[in-house]
Amino acid sequence: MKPLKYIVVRLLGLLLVAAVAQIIHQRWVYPSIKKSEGWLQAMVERRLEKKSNFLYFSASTNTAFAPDDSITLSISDLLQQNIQQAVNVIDTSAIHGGIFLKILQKIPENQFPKTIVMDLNLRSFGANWIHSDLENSLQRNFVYWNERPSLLNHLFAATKWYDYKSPNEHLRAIEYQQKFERLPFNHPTIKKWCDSLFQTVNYSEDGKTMIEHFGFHIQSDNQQLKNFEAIVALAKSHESKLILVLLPENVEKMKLLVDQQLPALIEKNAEFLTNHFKKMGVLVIDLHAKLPKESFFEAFPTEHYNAFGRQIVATAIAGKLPKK
Amino acid sequence: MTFNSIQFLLFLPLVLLLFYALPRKSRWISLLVMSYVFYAGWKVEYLALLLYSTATEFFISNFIYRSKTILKKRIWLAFSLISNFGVLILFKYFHFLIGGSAWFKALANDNESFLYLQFIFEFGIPVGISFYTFQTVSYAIDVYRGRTIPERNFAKFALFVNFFPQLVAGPIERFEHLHPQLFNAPNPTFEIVKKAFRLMLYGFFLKMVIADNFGDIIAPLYLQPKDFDLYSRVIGALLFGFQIYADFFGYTLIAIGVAHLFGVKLQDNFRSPYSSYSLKEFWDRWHISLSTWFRDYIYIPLGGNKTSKGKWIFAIILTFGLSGLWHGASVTFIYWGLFHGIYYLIEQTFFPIPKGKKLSFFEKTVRWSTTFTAVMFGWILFRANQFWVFQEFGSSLGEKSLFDIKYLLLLIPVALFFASEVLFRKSRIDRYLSEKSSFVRWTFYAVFFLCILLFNSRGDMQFIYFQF
Repeated sequence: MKPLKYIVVRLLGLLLVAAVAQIIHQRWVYPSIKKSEGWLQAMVERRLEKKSNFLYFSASTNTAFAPDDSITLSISDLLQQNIQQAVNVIDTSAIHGGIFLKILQKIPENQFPKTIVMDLNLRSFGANWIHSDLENSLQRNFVYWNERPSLLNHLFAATKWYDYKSPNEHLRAIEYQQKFERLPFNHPTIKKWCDSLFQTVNYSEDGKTMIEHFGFHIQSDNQQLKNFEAIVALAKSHESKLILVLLPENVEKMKLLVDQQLPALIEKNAEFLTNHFKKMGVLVIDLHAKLPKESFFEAFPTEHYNAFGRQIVATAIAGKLPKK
Repeated sequence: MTFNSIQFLLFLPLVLLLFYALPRKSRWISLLVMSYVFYAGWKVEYLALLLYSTATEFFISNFIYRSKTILKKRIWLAFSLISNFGVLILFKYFHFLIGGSAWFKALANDNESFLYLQFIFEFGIPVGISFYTFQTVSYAIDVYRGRTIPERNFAKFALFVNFFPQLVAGPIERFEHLHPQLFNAPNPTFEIVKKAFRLMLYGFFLKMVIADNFGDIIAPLYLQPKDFDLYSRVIGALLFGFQIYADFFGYTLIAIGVAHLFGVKLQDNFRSPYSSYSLKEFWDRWHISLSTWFRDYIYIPLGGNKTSKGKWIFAIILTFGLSGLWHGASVTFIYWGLFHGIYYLIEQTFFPIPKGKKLSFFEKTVRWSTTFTAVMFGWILFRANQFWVFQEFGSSLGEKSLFDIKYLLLLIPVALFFASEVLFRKSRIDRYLSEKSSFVRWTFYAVFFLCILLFNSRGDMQFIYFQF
């Protein structure tokens, strides 16, 4: 009995310490952690406060403004104007299909939108996006999005109990795609393509960046594709309408910076995605080559549009949504 | 699977359960199997290398032992060294020595197989390879020297190589010390179990609270030192010194604690290194299992200090240079090793501490501060992945500061860390606490436990020594 008593008394002591720690943590430590590392939940909850049938998922595309824009309305603002109904929006940098899916899974049944509009960003299907520096921080957000004692959330984040990859693993995945994944063109890989571009007088760093970020061939085993497939299934299970918006890319500039093959590859990928999701009964708005190069105000990232570009995107989406 | 992961917290009780469910004579088998499972947790492919290393060393060492002539013994030993260091060089130094060179890049551009090799060796350093390679090499040399009788059972030898608590970051154990303990170990007493948990608790505190938070704070400094002011550069250098100590010492304490639970006593790897009065003393107290390895297998065979001045200088420079290179394939590690070597030579030539001499307070102060400064300066080289980062530490000052109001709360665990280091300076935490009353002990536990819960870092820090 003595050892048992010894252990029980001390275990109770530790539990008491944990309980005290939980109170201190919840009150004084956790709020700032949640604000800096678990901000996604607060953002989503805030954005869903407004009653709306529509939920628009985007990345920085939604709110990127050109320095000389006369109209500083986001795509979602313009969309609201067009359909004259409230549109809730979830947008943050580097967000992508995998994160959209996790957010949707967190939305309670009574708040689940009737119509989901989601950016289908071609670039987000490549390793450079999925394995960006921001990925771990985005994934870590979901550890804090749990109704557990705050200490446990904190501990799970510290012990990397989430979809964590080390910086080296992320870099490795990007390098692997660039060096070994086959392209359906004369340039067998991204690396070879960049090397051959380097031999030409047309070589520019922007051109190389374009190849690195768009030079991939989407196939049925693509992880991002699987994320969107899961989103389709989830929307169906909630009887929600899903609209995917294949975002405009600066194909004119790509032709100038690289050659005809990069737009052709983008075309091939866009066609694959459109057909793939159409077959699944999803409405896809294909805008990938709908904007002239003047609508893009940055060399990179390419999915930032000026007021004209944002208006085109918003109008195209609005055309597919019911007006009030 | 790292020690500070949920996976490990689930893995450990499972292994303990399996281990103690078996009859004492068969327990080691569960340890062997689970050690492989532990290692496979990183990458299953790495198991092949570990098995290769184990198999070659097992057979070669037996050949060395059975060889009748010294020539044959030497030939087999050469095979062993080539085999072990060959794998190490290939996986750890190939990219540094060859893979990154212009001619190999050109070759890789024309041939996909070479490109794949380059990729594998650039990104695929198997975790713990330097540790288990050094452990197996010491075994082969000891067999050659006639100090060790080789193990005849392959599986038992495999457990010596891959005993999971010390597999990926040491301590680098010697065969005579570790091997006998792995089989027929007595059940640990209640005192030993308490000791194990004390060590693990303090280890987790050092790693998760001190090392990881310091690592998070200084990460931006080592990306662009030139942007930061003088204060940040000095504090950043000091913080890294304490980060690497807390990281590696923390890991070691957890490893020693875990091993105790299986009735195995691993060797100490640290003894308050920052309290040293000379660099010589520092190396007697820092990463002891590695420094003694270099002493026994490189420095002494080269003549040690019982040879001519010239040979001694050569032995010191080579030993420290290799020690730097052991840490990684980068010139900054070599410079770090050479810096220590040159400092050591100057110190031992002009300012040696005579054996048995009692230092005055003044001497102690001067010696401690110069040694501490030199070690901390060396760490800048160590942490700077590339030489330009180190050079930027000396560039004109920027305006950014490392200080942020959000770090204020961290002063609580940091104060606790320094206080503990002073308290445990002469006696490790487990021994220190075993002499204290139950109230004092449990106050310590509660405070460390509370700190781990409240102040653990959520950043991207991994155990620093896992990359070696």
